[in-house]
Amino acid sequence: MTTLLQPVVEVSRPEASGVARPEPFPEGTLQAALGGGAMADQDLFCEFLQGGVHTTLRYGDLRRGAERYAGFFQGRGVRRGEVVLIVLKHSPDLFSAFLGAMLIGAVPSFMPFPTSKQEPRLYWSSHQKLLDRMATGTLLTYGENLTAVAECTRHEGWRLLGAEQAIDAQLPFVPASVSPDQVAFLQHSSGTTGLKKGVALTHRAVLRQVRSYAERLQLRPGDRVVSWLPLYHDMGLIACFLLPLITRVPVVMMDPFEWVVSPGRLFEAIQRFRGTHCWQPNFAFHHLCRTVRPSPALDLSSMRAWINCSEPCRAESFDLFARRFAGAGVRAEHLQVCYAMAETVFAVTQTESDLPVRRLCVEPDALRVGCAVPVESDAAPSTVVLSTGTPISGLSVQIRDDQGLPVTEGRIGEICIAGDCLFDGYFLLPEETHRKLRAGWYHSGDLGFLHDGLLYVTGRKNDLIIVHGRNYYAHELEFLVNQVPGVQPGRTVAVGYFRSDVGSEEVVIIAEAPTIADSTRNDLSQQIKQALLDQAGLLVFDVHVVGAGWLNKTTSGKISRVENLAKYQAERAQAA
Amino acid sequence: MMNSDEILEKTAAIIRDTVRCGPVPISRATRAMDVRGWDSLSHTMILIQLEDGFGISLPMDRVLRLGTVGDLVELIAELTADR
Repeated sequence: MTTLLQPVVEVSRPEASGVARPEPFPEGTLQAALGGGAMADQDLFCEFLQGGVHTTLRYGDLRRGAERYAGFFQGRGVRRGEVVLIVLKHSPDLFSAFLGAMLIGAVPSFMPFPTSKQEPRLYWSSHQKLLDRMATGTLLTYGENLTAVAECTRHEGWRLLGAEQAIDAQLPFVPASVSPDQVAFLQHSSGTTGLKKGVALTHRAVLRQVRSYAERLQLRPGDRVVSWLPLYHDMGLIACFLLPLITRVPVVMMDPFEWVVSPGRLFEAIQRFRGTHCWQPNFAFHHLCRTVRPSPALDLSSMRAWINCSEPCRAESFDLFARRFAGAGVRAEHLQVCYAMAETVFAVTQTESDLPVRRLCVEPDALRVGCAVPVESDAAPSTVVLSTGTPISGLSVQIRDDQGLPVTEGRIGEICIAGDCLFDGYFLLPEETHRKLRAGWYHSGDLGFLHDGLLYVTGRKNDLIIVHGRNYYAHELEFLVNQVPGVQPGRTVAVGYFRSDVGSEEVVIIAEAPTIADSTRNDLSQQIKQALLDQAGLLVFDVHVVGAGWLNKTTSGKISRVENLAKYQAERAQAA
Repeated sequence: MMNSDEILEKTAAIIRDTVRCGPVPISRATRAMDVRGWDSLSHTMILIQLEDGFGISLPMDRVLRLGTVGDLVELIAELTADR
């Protein structure tokens, strides 16, 4: 464990030594992961499970798919450095399109495919700000969507391509020579569609993250990642696609929609393929507990790490999961925590393999005023916080106060990160980049403290709401609600509402609509729900339409999220 | 054998009980987003409760295509028709 020097608290991990890592490790660029004989064509990359069909993908399949898309893209005029937005359903074609774009030096980025509940025209038009900001690029989707994209967006400067045309394309292409410091791809994982920031990641940063994280996880031959995560999310993209691709640890991949409807299939896949690593957000541990009945035949003993990541991790979720599936071989020491973000490619910290996650009981009152004070007596009231571990090698963590100065151990402040796998910036957003990335330190907006060398995450400085591992900013949701006719502009609030039964935050919208009759409030509520579903891809938990003056303001005149959430909860409790 | 209205009534009761939304009206035209708390996660819970309640197994390919409570009722009626 790292020793801390007072008063400046900063933890970093020296280069690990003596840990076996898969060889040969591709150096330089991600292209090397596919070419140069580093990968034998017969090596297994992925078991892809979808619709009851099981497809085995080997590195040769992956390379041929990528080359097919590379020829297709180049034949259509896609240039080196050009952004390629990929809007396809969960399928092996995602791998081919993404890697194919990189083979010609273009910059791919996965975007979520609209669900059947989203109105297609509104979904596509919600991308307008993103298209305007980038000005030029390529958008790849299915041919049947191209008319809607063309009609619903101003897309001058954009090349619209139908993925079906790539299927039979056997066009030659000229591979691009890229440097390790070139941007490899963009991650659009936070915010509502049009306002999403493209996190630009270089080849060098991605490879350093993957190497360092693989060392921490002590990946070894025979390991298997099992995933139901979508690839547009950093956890799916890095931990369950690129990490397996580069380290040659095969992945078993399921369809996210199929997992939600039938969560037990994750366990079936683990048992069948002897899975060893699985990443998922906190809510998923609850979802599995609530929906899967453990049978005597269930065997999860092959698992070495269930990694809780992407939303606040809770001790009670781990306890519930460990109790329910103990008979199937789930052990406390297999339940791990990772603190990750797109801006560091993925992992910042990770708990130690094969050891139960450290828990700290702290005084609730002290926590509220920014101090983590361990509780000495069992009788005293306490809040349990889970450690997220220590930084992976190459990254350092520092906790800073509002003035940007490092604080002492146990004090809560903003979590700042420096190191060799930071992002290059937000794509075409220099001001936003400067605001968050200063003097080599990324200011995460998350709050936390260090104790005994371990990082604990306690909350957020900004208005981020994490719903089932996906990030939404309250002010962006409020902006969308304000556009719905009948809502009083500026008199709307979006709040995160923690549901202990689900193990995740949900969004509640409270909107003042003074001109709307009581009898039609429900209709307005539905319109707001639909608008957020279409334009943000978010199904909110509740929309509370209220009369003028319902919302409380702070003394500085801002609508208070905390106070109005409390008022909403009180009304709900009364109604129940 | 239950008729369609009885299936609707029992289905609505299971939905209300699962998402704890209180006594809200649920008709054939109701969609998931019309009911507070009926999201994709609670949807899975509802399906499990329906399978238990009606003694059926809901095929996933059909479940993924459901749009309204009416569609759900029709599917359950089809699966229980031989009883």
